[in-house]
Amino acid sequence: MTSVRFEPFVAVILILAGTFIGVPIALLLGIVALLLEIVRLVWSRGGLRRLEYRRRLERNRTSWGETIPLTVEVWNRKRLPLAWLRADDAASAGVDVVERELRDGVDGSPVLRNVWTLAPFERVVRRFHVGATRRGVFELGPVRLSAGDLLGRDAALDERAAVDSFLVRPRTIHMTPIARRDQWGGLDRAAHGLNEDPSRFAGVREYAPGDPLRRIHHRTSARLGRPMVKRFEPSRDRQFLIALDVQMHDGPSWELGFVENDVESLFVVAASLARSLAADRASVGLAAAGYTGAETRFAYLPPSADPGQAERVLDLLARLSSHPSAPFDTLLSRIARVTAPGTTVLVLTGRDPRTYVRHLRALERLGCAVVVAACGPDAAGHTATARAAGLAARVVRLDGPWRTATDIAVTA
Amino acid sequence: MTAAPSSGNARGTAAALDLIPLVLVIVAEAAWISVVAGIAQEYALRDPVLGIPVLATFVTVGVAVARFAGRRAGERWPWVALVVAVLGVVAGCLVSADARAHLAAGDVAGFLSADPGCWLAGLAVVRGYAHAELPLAESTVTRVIGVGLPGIALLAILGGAVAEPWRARFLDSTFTAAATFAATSIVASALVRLTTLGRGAGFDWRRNPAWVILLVALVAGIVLAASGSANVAGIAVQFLIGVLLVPALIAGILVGFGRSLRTIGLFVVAAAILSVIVTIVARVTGSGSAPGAPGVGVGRGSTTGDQVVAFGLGGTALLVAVAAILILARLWMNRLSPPEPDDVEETRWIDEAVEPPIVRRRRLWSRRRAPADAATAYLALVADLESRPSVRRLPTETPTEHAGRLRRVGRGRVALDLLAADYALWRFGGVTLSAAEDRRGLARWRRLRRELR
Repeated sequence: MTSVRFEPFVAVILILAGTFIGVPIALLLGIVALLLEIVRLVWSRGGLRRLEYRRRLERNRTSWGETIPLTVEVWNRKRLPLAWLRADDAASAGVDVVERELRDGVDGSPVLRNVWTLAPFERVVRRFHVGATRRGVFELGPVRLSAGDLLGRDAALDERAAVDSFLVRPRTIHMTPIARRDQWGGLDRAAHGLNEDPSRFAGVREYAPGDPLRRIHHRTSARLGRPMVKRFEPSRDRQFLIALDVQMHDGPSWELGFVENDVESLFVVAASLARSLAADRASVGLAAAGYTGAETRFAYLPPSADPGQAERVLDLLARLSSHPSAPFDTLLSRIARVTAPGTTVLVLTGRDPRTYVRHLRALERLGCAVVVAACGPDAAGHTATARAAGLAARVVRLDGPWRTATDIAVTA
Repeated sequence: MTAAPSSGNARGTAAALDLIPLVLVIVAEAAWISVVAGIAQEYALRDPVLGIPVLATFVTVGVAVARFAGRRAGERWPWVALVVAVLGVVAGCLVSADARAHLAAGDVAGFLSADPGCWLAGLAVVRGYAHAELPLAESTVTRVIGVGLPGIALLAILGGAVAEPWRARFLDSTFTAAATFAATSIVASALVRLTTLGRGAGFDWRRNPAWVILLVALVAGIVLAASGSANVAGIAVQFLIGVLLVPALIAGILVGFGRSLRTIGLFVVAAAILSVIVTIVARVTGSGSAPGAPGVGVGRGSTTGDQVVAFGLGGTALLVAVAAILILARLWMNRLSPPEPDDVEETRWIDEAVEPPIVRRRRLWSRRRAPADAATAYLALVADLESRPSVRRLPTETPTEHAGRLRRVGRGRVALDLLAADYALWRFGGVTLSAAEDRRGLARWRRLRRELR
């Protein structure tokens, strides 16, 4: 909505009054006001013409606590100088610019404000560092450009729709590794008795008929003069699916009451756990009943040991909403349908597991191992509940608030 | 070791540059107050006493007192401000020789009433309080210009209603004050606006001296142009309105009144009504009467009742003024602190990148560039003929076919065939034409342009 400006009318009235009453001073001031309006008109028409504005993020994701270099460039590609040019980049709530405090924009939302004075053909580059106060997906843009005339008055306004988004992954900190149980079988069908993990060398033994020839340890056989074969430890569970219970309190999932710091602590634990398992070369995946910006209500990343899987899990955690999109029971039912037997389902929760323990048992019946990792102030009680239901359970505890914690302890 | 003095010099220069808007604002304040003082003197049928330099001194005193004593006074500041303003009034009266004579004779009432315009020295001091903190407040400076421009014009119109010779003297001094006010207040408001915009946004007008020079030059040009044309512009405006108003109204009726036209019309009507009212007031109060005519002066043959009314009104005005000084003195003390230094890394350079030629649309009155050789002459001729259906080249025609067709219908000449042949040689044959051939081609183009109209 354009506001009515009275200056031109005042100028015209002064000129007319000065003319008809015969007062040259009124005429003088009227002409001055009119000429000033003409100056304003020139900048109003051409102020933002041939003006280039670019915003560039060096990368589009980072971890909480780190920053992304941001370059803002403006180029006045014309002969008309600009007394000032103001660029208000709309910023999502939570965006943090190291060098500059965000201001309130026209509609009250935060903006990154830059103001320049530009000579003809002048080009200016400013460098910032952008982060966020919490994990999530953040946006910068669109930008609202306004320019002043030679006298510094508002003269031209334009909005450019370019939007840059970046992703802030949750914080990850050091974590006590979760003890991984040895198991019979493993992932594949056993062709030769025990399914052994060839990466876990356990020694040599005498050759027995039926042993595969490729297991023969040639050097030892040559030294001892009889055939010896290599022995390996049996496979242990290598496939983990972290089932994140976003809901913090018992009750219907659509009740949005949550304490942000509690939820964020849970996300920090989930991220640290994923990174820890990936570092231990395990296949890790993630399932959660939360919104991620996609159409589905469930976030699901199947377990994988591919390089970059930990980053994919962290990306998904970054996108995940802080409130649940569906009941956790429903998520567990879906997990039961899509997860291969033998997978360890790590249920990361901040509430009493009693309400969904039935679904956990169903998962165990399907061949999945279930471990309940209880977080939060009542973690010990929740662990006891899980154990009473016959499930394996651990207490996972941060050694401080999620922003400053340095270690995650996992205890039985 | 040399860094310290240079950084000290830089700080000194920066501080001096910070003072430029303040100096300009002080002069602007003095200019408009001098107009008010002038009209007060004029209505008392006395010559102006306080000029811009004297009033600027009083404004400076107000600035200095508020800046250096305001914070120390704390809660007592409004009362201190009031006392200083009263002292300003007394000092202003002391500037007048007549007032001093009354004081020497022990006539305190005469001292205060000799030159009522001198009271405005107190207003100048009070206005100084508004500009105590640096950087200056944008709203205060903008208000000065927003109220000052029409205010001075209104005072000038009112001043024009008083008898000669005070009218002429007032208008003369006001003309200078108005020009000074316009120039200083515009530049000051621009500088203050940019200072305000730059707070916390990494921007400083001192980095752009070219803009400052351009601004000063532009404002000086505008004020000089307006001053020079003020005496003759009235005649021109009257003439233009006389000539254009009726046709414009008729055109408006025919075309239909749009929103803009309606708005302009409303303001024209409003201005006309205002001018009629002011003219009537001027006639009633005896504007333009002979020197020595009674005019609207005060204090001539006034009755006791009038004096009571005058004292009552004066007392009320005095109370209002005191209250205003107390409130404004407190408000103007609550200013913002100076801007924090900005630590954003910034790179600046002038980048006049080579631009692709801009294809501009040809305007009706612009002239096409003259061709330089025979080939471009042919193309220019074809472009010229494009707007004439009877002789233009059809899309399916070759240059030779076009020339042949025109010759067959009696419009063309061999010259067109030859020019077309020159073009075909250059365009399709890759032949570079000699200078003589180009000259002949250009001569044919000029002739054919005329003949094929």
